Amino acid sequence: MLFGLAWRNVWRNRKRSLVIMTAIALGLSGGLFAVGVFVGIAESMVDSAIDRNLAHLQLHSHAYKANAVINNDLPNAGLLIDSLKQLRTVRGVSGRGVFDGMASSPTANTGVQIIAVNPQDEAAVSSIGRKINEGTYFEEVRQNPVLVGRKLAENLDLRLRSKLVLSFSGKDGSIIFVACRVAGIFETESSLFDGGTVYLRHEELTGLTGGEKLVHEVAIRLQSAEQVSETLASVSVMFPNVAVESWKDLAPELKLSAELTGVTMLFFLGIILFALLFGITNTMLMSVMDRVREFGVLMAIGMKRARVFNLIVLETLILSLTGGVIGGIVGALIVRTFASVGIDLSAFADGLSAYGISAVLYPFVPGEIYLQLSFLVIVTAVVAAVYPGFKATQMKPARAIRAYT
Amino acid sequence: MAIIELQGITKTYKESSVPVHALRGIDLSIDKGEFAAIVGPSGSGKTTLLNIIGGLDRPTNGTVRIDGTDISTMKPEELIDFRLHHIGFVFQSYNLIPVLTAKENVEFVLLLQNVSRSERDQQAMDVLARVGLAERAGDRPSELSGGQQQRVAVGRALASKPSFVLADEPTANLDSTTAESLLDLMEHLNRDRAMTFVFSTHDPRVMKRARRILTLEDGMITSDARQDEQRP
Repeated sequence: MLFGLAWRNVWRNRKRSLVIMTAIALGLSGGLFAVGVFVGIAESMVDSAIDRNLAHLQLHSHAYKANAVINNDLPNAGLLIDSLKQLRTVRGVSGRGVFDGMASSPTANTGVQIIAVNPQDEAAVSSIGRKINEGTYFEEVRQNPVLVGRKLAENLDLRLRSKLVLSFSGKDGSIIFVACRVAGIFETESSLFDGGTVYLRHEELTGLTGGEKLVHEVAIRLQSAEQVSETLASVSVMFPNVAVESWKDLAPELKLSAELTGVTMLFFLGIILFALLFGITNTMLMSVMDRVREFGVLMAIGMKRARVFNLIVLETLILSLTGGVIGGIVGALIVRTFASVGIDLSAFADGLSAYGISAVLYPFVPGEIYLQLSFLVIVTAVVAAVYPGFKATQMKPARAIRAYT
Repeated sequence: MAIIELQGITKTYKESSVPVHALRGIDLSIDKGEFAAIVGPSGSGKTTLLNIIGGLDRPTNGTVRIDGTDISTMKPEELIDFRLHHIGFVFQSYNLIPVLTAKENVEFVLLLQNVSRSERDQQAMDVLARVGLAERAGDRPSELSGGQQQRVAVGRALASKPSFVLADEPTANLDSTTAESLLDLMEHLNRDRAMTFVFSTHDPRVMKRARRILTLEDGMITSDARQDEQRP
């Protein structure tokens, strides 16, 4: 009955209640959309980095971790890769030769990272094959096909089938030169990556290094991102002499960015609710002052102050949660709509690619944000009810009954 | 047996620079089953006296005993609880909760007394039947006439099974016929159920029905007259 009374009291001044409920709903739906955009940005940075070349887990020799030179390759990499492919959680494994070198075109040269891959294995681990927007994935060029990033192509004035000379130190310290032709030009979300990476097939590298297959890095893609910790633990046990790291260890700045986004967004929603708190308090205070006589009567006939206070809290909760639920639903619908069609930010593509962010953004609000938001709305309502509730309980029944309200 | 006993009651308001002596030494005893009216000109202290009897205000000096309990020293929360179980109130402006139906208004006091839902339902309907409004149980105050609202207010006062009912100018906002009808109801409840009623009033119709008339002037009882029952 007390809930019924509170509910009906909320609707006594329909216009006033609707105004504050609309304010709460607008504030929260706007806030949720903003959260969705920022989480979407953070997710885009993480996802595109994992997709591009980071993968979920990477294995290196400890020597390579200390000094990333061509000599510090992983011994018995073939066996290691075969074992990893057997794991239930693993979707793909790619053994990569990764070392620094120089790329020279007839017009310019620049330092690059050369990544030697088995195209089929790499396709199961990274999205590089799908990022080729000119040419093919190592096809249609017979001898020494390479993939270059769009930015590198621009810097070295390269086109499809252009000649490119790669030079790097061999294991014996000699300089190896190899003439290649551009088979494909890729464009990822990161202009930094695109400007300094060349993909080469393993079979070419093996030919250049005297028949030895050099693997410096084993990249593992899992069935789900949720399996990272579990797989990291089991792979570390399987290969105790190898450095096993997750994407969070390999790119701590991405981990920090993802974690900070969650905290920042909660803080952001907190600020919105803090501003709404004053509006809710004001509405409830007006409601209490409109009912001075009624509170006087309630206390005269035997309603204890604690119960009067609870009635105000209940009314505030109804007001806030109704607005909050509407805001949550509207916000979720907006996020869902944009999550399916995406937000086209191609006008800012250059700036975004410098940070590895996709030009089409897909907002996303994690489920726990809704839970945390519900908790925040409840806390806000209770805090907003304190002052009006206190005012109501401080009324003197004899005087309040005679109030002209 | 006295259910209301006042001894040496004074009340002085010191809110302005000049203290206002609203009550100046009231001694009063009201027995169970009385139908008493406190009358007097405006400013004589009727409302103050009624507030003090009802535990809504504290006397500056003196003691107030209700059912043998001294309420003048009770803490505010104890007083609220005491009022809930011992005193019924009827106000001049009905003062029903506008968002509740007639039945819910009556039931609300029972909710405060933590009576179970099924018992509340039963008792509220019984009380409404007693005040002749069973068929209007589902109506809100705005759908009832002034007289009907005041009947619901009487029902609310009776629902808590109080020792007595304090009625502050209960007929002031009612027309003559409705006022007589309400007085019939209260007189009936007084006679058949021995419910004690104490009124503060200016209304000659109430004075005519009251069996005891306490006249208050300048904060003092100047006359305490008992009169035989007179039928209109």
